[in-house]
This record gives sequence, structure tokens and C-alpha cells, in this order.
Amino acid sequence: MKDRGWMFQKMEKRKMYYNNRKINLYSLAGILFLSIILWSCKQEISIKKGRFTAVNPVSYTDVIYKADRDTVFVSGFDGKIHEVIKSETKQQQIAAIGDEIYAMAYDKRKSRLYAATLNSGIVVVNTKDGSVVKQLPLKNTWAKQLTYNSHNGILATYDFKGYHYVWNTNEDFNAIETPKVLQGTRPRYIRDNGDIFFDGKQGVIVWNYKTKTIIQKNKTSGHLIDVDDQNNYLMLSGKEFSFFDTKADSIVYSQKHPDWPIYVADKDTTVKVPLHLEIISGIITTYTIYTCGLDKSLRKWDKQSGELMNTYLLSKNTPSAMDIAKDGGQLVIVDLGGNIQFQEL
Amino acid sequence: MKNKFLQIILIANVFVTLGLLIYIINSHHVELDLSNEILKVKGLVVTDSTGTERIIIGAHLPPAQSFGYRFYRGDNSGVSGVMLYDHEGQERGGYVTDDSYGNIFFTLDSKVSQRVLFMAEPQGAATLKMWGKNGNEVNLGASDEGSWLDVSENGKKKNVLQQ
Repeated sequence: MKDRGWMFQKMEKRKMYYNNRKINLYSLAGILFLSIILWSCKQEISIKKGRFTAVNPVSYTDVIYKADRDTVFVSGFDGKIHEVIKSETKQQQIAAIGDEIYAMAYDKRKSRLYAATLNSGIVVVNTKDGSVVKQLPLKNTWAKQLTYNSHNGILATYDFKGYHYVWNTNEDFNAIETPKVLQGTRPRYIRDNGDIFFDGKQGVIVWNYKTKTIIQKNKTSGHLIDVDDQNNYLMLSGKEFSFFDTKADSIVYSQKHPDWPIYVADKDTTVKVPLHLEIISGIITTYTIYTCGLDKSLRKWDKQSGELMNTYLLSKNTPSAMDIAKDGGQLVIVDLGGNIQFQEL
Repeated sequence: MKNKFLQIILIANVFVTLGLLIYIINSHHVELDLSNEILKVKGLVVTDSTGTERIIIGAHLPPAQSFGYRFYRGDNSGVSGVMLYDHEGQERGGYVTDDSYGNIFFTLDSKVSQRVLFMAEPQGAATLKMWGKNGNEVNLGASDEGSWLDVSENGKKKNVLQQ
């Protein structure tokens, strides 16, 4: 019995020893494994890749109405497109292209935005989910403006080397060939009937993409900015804009922004300096012309007489683009300081 | 005996592992001191508090910004050097060399266009030119062949030396 007890004790001891040894071995293996993992965790320092372009997160480059009024899309050098509602302070990001955006066109029916970019050509964005639907490459350089007619789906632009591009977005973005006489001209306006207004050194040429015929030629000076409902032109040349009557084939009047208004915050007053500064953008409507300029003002002119009707002071930054609401009762202006101003007219 | 040996190794290993952990946690924040180093970079962008670029040192420099878009400098018109931008991100001047002619120049720009050019050509001629619109211009220069001072107003040359 004594022998048996001793034997049992010995066996239990051995069992315990082997169990302890097993646990120790597992622990050792575990810690060794952890040590190896920790040792292999070498710290890697990576430097964020920088670029010379798409840096500026503040400036707005273009603005376009989404709704009939109060809601707009704005684009920036940082490649982002936001939706802005007049009464709301928050902006909703629609898309981030990752390339500088200079101009936009919008098709409400198709929920599509067309964006002219620095390196990616013309980018077609689905406004519902922000995805890039298509990219239309340009042969050389980049485009700074886009012309679009949502009625016939014609999209047109031109690059800095003088090539122009006309696509039919309703027919799988088929490129429309233009005649040789239009070489070097810039498409600036498209009518519902298919008339495309090209601006060039020789003046303005109106060409219809359906009939493939030249409708009209006018010898003008300056750049074509906008066309009214009677096919008259708003021309721009540095500090001066002109109203061009196409029936009379001549300039009706030319005007400059008078009295550069400078707001002096200390005295809460506006000083008028008798200097004319560059006009940046303009819009022509049935009865009025609107121009904005380097003097940070928006001017309202009577279209028939050329008389200055009103001067609106803008923010302290330089305006970069503007658009007018469908009913002509509201105008939106964006600037290089990241301001959006809705102006009730 | 063996059990004790294993325990010693285990304790030693715990210390090593703890040491490694402390090392990794301590070295999480890395401070790079490059004051004694020579940096080789393609470009450097200095931005202001809003993130807008104000100074770019680069080879080559990007195209110039205007009112919401960039200008094309032209074919073979790559320039390298230092470029300054205003608070709205518009290019307002630079100190650069160009690839095509080998000129070095210093420029000052308005919000709309270039207005001052101070340039030295590779063959030696140096020019200082200032201009506005409507043909107003001052052109001052010197080369191995001679020197000149031309002043124009509304496109008409004025003889300033006789006046």
C-alpha cells in the first residue's frame, strides 16, 4: 500500500512537471512570436506626394444654376464640385475629380455636369452619386470655357492651342466635324435650333451643325461673351464691353465700368476713384446687360441705351464667374476668395 | 532544474518584449532634423493659412493662374525658378530662367497681365522694360554694342534725353 501511494505521488508530480513545462513552453513560444512581430514592425516614414496644381482650396472657378434659382453648383481649383443653397451655410460636396476645374455646364434632365479640367479634358459627372461617367480628351492643352445646350445636347469647347471640339452628347458623345473656315475659332453659344456661334479673329461666325451651313458672319472686335434672344452680341475687350447689333452689323455702344468703388471700412464709406478697371464677365438678357469686373462691382446696364442703371458692390475679392437664374430675377457671383453672392435683381 | 531554466528565459523574454514595446511607443513620434542635410527636390510649395499657394519654387513651374483658370505659357516656354502668388492665388511675378532662349528674368505682373520685365540674355544684353496698355512703355537697356532708353506714350516715341 505504501509503495502504491509513493508510486501515485511520483506519477502526479511527474504529470505536474510536464504540465508546467508545457505551459512554460507555450508562453515562451508566444512571447518569442510577439518579440519577432514587434522586431519586424519597422517604422516607415512616407511623405505625402505634393503637386504644383490643384493646391488652392479657397477660390471658386465657376458657378452654374442647378435649380431655377437659389441652388447652384460651384467648382474650384482643388477639383471639388459643391452644391450650394442660398439660405444654407453648409455646402454639399457633389464630386471630387482630383484635377483643377475651370468651367462647368449642367444638364438637369440627365443629372450630368460637364467640367473642363487642366489634365483630364472634359469630365462628365453624374450629379446623383458624383461618379465620373466619361472623359472627353482634348488634343492639346486644356479648355477654360464650356458651351452647352441641354435642348439638343450639343457640348462645345476650345483649347489654348486654338482647336475647338463639338460633341453630340445625345449620340454617345460623337464628335461633330466643323468646316475649315471655322479653324481657330472658339464656340461660345449654342441655340436650340443647332446654330453654334464661333468667335474668331475675323469676327463671329454662326454655323448650324444640322444643316452644315454658315448662317451668318459679323465682323466684330473683342471676344464674344454672350448672345441675346435676338442674336445680338455682348462683346468684351479689356476694360470695355460692347453691345453689337447683328441686324445693323455694327456696335451700338461701348461702355466701361465708371468710378472704381473702394469701400473704406474705417469710415464705413465708399470712395469712388475715377479709374476704369478690367471687365471679367458679362451676361446679356432681353432688356439688360450685367457686367462684373476687377473693381469688384456688378453693373446693371440698360441694353437699348447703354445707360448704367445700378452698381452693386461685391465682396472684397475678385469675381471669377457669374450665372443668371432662369427667370432673370437673380444672379449669382463667385470669387477667388471663396465667396458666393446671390444678388436679387 | 530544467523548469527553472525555462522560467529564467521566460522572464528574460518578457523584459525584451517590454523593452521593444517601449521602444516602438517612444519612436512613434519622429522628428526629422534636416538642418545639416542637403535636400534634392523637384519643387516646394509654400501655402498660407487658407491653403492657397503663395510661393512656388520649382522646375518647371506650373502655368499661370488667371480669373478661375490657367493660361498656357506656349510651346517650349517652360520656366524654372521662384514664382510669387497673391492672396487669391494669382501669379504676380517671378524670378526664373527659361528653357528655350536661356534668358533669366524677373517679372512683376498686375492682376491681368505682365507689366515689368528685367531680363539678361545669354549673349549679354540686359533690358528693363515697363509698360501699360495703349502703347505706354519705358524700355531701358545695355549690351556690348550700345545702350538705349526708349519712352513711348500712346504708341509714340518720346525723346526724353533732349527734354
